[in-house]
Amino acid sequence: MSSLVAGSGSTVPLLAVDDLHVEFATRDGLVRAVNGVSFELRAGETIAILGESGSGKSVTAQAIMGILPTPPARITAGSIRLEGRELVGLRERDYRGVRGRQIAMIFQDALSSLNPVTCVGEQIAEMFRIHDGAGHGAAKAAAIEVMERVRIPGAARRYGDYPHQFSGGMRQRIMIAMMIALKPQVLIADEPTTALDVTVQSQIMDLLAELKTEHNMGLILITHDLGVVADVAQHITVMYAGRTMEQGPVDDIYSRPANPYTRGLLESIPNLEAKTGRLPAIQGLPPNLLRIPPGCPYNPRCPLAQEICTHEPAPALLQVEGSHHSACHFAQEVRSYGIHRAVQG
Amino acid sequence: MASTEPSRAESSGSILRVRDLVKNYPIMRGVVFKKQVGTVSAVDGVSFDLAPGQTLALVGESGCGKSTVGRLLVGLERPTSGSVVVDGVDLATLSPKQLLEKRRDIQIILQDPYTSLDPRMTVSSIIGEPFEIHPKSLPQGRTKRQAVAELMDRVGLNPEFLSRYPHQFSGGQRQRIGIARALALRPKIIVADEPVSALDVSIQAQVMNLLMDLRDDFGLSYVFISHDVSVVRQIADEIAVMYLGRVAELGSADQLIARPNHPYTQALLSAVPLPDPIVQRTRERITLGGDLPSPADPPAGCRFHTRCFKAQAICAAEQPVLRPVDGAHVAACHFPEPMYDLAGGGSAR
Repeated sequence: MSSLVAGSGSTVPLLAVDDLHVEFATRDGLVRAVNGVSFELRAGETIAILGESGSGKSVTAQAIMGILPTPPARITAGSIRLEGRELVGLRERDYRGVRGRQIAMIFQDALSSLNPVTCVGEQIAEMFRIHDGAGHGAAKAAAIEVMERVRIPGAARRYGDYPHQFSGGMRQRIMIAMMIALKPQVLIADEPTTALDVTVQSQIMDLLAELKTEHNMGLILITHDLGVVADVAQHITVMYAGRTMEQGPVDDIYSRPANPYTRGLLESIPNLEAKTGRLPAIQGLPPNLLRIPPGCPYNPRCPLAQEICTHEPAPALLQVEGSHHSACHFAQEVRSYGIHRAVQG
Repeated sequence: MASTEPSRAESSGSILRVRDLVKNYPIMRGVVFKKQVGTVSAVDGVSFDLAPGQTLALVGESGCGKSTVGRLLVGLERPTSGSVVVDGVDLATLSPKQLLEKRRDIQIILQDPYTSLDPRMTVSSIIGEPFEIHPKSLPQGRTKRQAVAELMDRVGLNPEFLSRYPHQFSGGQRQRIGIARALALRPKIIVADEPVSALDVSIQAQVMNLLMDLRDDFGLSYVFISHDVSVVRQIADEIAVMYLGRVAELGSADQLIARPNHPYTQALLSAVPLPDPIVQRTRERITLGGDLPSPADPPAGCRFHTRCFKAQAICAAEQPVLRPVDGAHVAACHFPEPMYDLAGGGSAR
């Protein structure tokens, strides 16, 4: 265990995930949920992991948090380093010092993540009592302070209210309050706004961005929604069937995707600006993770698939330009097409 | 499918007329001696018309009453007051037997393909169930099995899977089962309540395309209920924006999105995340403060005034009615005023 590199200089990333592999042993066989995912996160940076259900995005997040159910899950290869310190293989006792204090995570469904029979103020105060050893009075004061920080109106008055007495947006704020209570360095938000209405979504995204800047946190957004992260994340990683399909700066990927899957996703999003009639949908279904097709996992659905895509092993992530990488045999060609979001009526 | 006739134009314009629809739910307290202590006003005076072959979308956030309207239309709930007129017949005037008959004309597709299908029924019995209730609807000279196989084929499911169970299908396929079931009786109107919200992006587009094809092939009319304006944009001819049980704005989809007049519509459109980082960073956004008020205690006057960025004294006092802002485009606001380019800053030509 290498002791931390002093003074978090910009050379060592805050969080570095390298070639992560996670498998689940199921009755029907081995599920390779995450298959060689790598990315880096720096302080003050926001990255997004994009993917549909079954892409492995949430499993990646759980692996970082050290909350994978083991068994059946197992990290079979790769490393997760927080400021240079290896987290894979860390004993549960030591992980407890990391979770909450250094890495925290908010979930999609705040109602099922909060304890329904304890008032919300208590749940937040508990963080301070357990992790900081604060006394009751101090913990309560600190809890009210973070509740104010996430702009819960009448925080002191609502300290004793229960989760069901709050709206969806307010509950998500309470989750955020709990998670930022100990000022973690990394905040993982797994579909933080998916269950919320759009007008509330933007409030929550704004709040997250603000807190990130204020605490100089690294923020990882896990989502299926290409719209939500467009202006928030600097870098994105697109996952499919446990693999990284494409990775790079958000502007570059959205305007010139270098992977047919990313392009398919971008093109299949309905356009608010214009009625385009039929949508250019991606054909077929995501693969069953027990039977990932040989070659590139996307090949059965890919409109550009050639023989090489089924016969060769899955393509590695190769540089397209700068930090933009794509795992496609035809990355440069795909990139040169650009995307065609239909705009004509 | 020989004769699909989308033109049933003579029938006085609309296939569905909804007038002043109201639905209140009592709030009860007490275990033994139940007592009504309040009322949740879920739908409060909703009116609209739907022309044959057209799609009207009900758009709004959770709690706006859009799904309740859908349930009222197909008779899953009874309205407190107001009328639903299907193809010239007011549903309230029918006997239970006549009502059952009439309901063949208006069917529903539900949001969640996981809970809306009975896990113990085979696909064939799910899709074929409408024929049990309405045996006369079985197409001439076909067995139930044949009819079901044809429906499955039509919605893009392999008819060989007739005797499988819902859990053997993916989310998108299950939604197709729900669509086939709704189509079985050859309805004139389909109410689709968030039909693609539970699906992955890549599957959403497939199901949307199917719904558009079916509309064109069978001359269906849709009431399309959704919270997602971008999805609605692709299928709707007209859009009604709802807020706390009332229609805030109604107009043709093109007009309403290009020139929204109601502050709520404006906020809603400006909050839709667009998959374009550059547009997204530069576009004008209206962030609403606060949360949706409780429908058990809706604000007086305009129900939106507690969150409105334009609210004046009159808004808290007087309920605005739907007034024309531009032809058939109406808005319920004391200070309607068009805003432009909220859907992405006019980056498209």
